[in-house]
Amino acid sequence: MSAARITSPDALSAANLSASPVDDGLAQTLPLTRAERQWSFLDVLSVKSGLAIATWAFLFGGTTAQYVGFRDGVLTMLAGNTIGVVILLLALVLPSAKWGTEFFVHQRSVYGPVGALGFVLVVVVALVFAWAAILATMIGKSAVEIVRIAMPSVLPNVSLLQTTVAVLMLALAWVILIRGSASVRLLNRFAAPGLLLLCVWLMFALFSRVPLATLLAAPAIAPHPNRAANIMLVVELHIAGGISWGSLAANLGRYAQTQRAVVWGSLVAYVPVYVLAASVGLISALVLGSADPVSWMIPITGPLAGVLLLALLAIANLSSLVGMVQGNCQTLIQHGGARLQQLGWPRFTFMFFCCVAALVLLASDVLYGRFYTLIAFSEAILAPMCGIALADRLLLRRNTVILRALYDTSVNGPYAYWGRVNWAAFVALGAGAAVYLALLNPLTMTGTALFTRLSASVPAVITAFVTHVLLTRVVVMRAGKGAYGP
Amino acid sequence: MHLSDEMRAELERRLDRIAAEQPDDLAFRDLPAADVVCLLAFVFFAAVGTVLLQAG
Repeated sequence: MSAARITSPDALSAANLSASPVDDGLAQTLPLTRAERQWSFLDVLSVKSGLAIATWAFLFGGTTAQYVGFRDGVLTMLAGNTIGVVILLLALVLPSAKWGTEFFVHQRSVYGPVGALGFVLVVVVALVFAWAAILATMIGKSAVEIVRIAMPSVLPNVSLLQTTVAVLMLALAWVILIRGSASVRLLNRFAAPGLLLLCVWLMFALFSRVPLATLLAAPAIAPHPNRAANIMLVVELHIAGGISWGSLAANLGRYAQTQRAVVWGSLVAYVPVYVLAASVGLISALVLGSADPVSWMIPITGPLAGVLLLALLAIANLSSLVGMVQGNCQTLIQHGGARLQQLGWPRFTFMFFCCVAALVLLASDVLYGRFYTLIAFSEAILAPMCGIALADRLLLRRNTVILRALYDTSVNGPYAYWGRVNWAAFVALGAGAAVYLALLNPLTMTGTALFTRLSASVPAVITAFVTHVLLTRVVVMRAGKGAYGP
Repeated sequence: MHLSDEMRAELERRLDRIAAEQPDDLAFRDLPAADVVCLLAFVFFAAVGTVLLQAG
């Protein structure tokens, strides 16, 4: 979810070119042929449901409990995710599903080859660093709780222990990554069923101990005085959550047999299935008055089961961390050019993890505690991106793209624009982001009166859409750039 | 994007194959209009639901 969910699918094995993860990453930029597009509705549903039931669902559910109670929480999660996921599907997923292209490769038609690289750097580097730091910190916090139960007489330096474990887990994640896909598969074999067990166990423990009437009456943790603003803040959070499946949804969607399979499989996985997992987080947070998943396990299930569940949470986070970094490092290598590719997989991923470790040392508590702020800043980029993609595909290009031109990254290529960057699209992106930030302040999480009525994402999508259409018709098409046709 | 000669040749093979497959390939057929209408209806209901929730 979230921008950090942005990653790449499994190796494009049919190409048989994957001698190393670097080659693997490059192979994934190639378009898929019919033989490689075999996923049915059920295949899409099962793969995406597996991703939807992850620890970020707990974080989103816990954050929801800050503003609204149980009934409003479930309804607003459904509403926000529906709006966000439909925008995502129409704007970003369908083009990749239709043409079988990797997400960032497809964005070259909109932003130019260098412009798309800029996106990779902003979206992948900035946001994935932050997400990786959050996951590592959650593992560190789990370790602190386990030590508290296992050795109650010892009162460790909480901050030091948490940071040390987080950094050690980053090192472990790097070792798993460089050992190759077999280690990653082995980890996932435990993580996916473990997380499902965790969800079911928590839900069972909650409902067996807390009467439904108590649950329905449980107040939000720290709401604003204005009910309408609280509702919209949660809807906005989940619109952002839906859209933030971004390139992961698009890259997986291109394996589907039909656009219908990818649309309905994704919608069911990212809305009802995801909301079910997020509801576990919502209920836990409401019952215990804390949005932090780490603090729920022991009070809800008791010390012994709690320690086991915390261990499962840590394994699940480690699995998410490895998967996320693997996909995003491949994306960076795909678009980063020869120099980045020559670094090699171990050295490149080591540098990546060092940057995340620095973030853990410097700002992990800030990132962990300001989860919604991170989501809101990423949405300020992703929402306009959807508006631009919709305008470009549906209105300006009439659903056509020159597939071969997507792979022509030269200065004279059809999608080279000006110096291989479409500045008009970036102006539209800036306009959408400005509207988003004008309506919702991500630092204080307060919105204007207009935000309470319209959200921030929807006006940002519309602003970017209109600006991109106007600039393209007035400037880009008149200059004969971007292969927009006659 | 820097592709090796082998990878570049594979890209060319794929582009040719896809150009030949495209007219018959189910994946290239656009989402039916009825599906788009359903998706937009979901969004409409989600928006109306939000307004009703805000009204209490």
